[in-house]
Amino acid sequence: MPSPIQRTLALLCALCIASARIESAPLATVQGAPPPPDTERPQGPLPVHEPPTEPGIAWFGTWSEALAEAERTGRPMLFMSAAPQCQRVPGVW
Amino acid sequence: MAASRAFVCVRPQTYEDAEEAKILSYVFAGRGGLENTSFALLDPAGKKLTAGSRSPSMSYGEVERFVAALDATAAKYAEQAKPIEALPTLRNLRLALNVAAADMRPLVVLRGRDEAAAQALARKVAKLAWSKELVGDAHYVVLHEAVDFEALAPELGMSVVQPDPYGLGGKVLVHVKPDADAKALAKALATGFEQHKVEAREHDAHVREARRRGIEWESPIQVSDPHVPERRR
Repeated sequence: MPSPIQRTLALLCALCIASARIESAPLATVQGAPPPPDTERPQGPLPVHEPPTEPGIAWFGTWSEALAEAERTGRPMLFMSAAPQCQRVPGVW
Repeated sequence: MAASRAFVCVRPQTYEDAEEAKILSYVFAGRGGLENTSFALLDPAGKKLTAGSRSPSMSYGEVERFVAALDATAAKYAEQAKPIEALPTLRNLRLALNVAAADMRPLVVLRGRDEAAAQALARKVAKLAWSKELVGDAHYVVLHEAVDFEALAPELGMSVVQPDPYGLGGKVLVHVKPDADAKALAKALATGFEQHKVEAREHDAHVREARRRGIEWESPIQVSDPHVPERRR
């Protein structure tokens, strides 16, 4: 039985994997090969976004405020940028 | 989730700010420029501790390796680390609604009559936002001007908002005045978070409905991710 931490991080990784799949980006392509053909539809099943059932990561939304807080607290930073749209549709990553 | 709490976690929104785009490019950029996502662990001064990539899954593959890396990195800074006190906020109401909608989280809108009043309210709410009971439950945005955004016009004080599925607007679930004390603010947050309800969202149906309704997100910076079809950028 995975712990809440494992489930959340698994979700984070899954979202990133799903994001790459949605954008038709095989891992090898992401790592340096030429971009894939202009394929609008993703390969494989499309994800269903389920409402969160547990607290999430407390993200700072801007770099300047996060950097100021990291400098003040002496804490390292977990940096993960994301486009707040998918194929120009808002409400999904 | 506990592994992330030792870090200042930052998630800038790609293509939304030219200055931030420089940081994103420093962290990770493909040959075509910015990609939709970028990831790295950074030191407290913003210098990369790990190679940049597109995602944790690309860097670590397995969740266990990612957690181990987070724990190992955090351990190096644990002795000197001070508590996080600043409220984690989003840039503006438009982006905040979108991000909260995408994460399926409530949005807490703090509005003061001026910047000083807004920041004072933010400091009060920050203590609650980092409390064990409420951390990671919502997104926050701080305003010091009146806004009328797609029929959402938050009043002075604190409003807990349920964004619509596309983050184009939202419904105020709970509101308290700016002079509310910590107890009232805590109660309002807990009540608002409890009232916030969202349904599962099937990705393809969400996109189809957006196309049907003509909903389109415009970013200030052109999408450059080579994995996004040209006509969808």
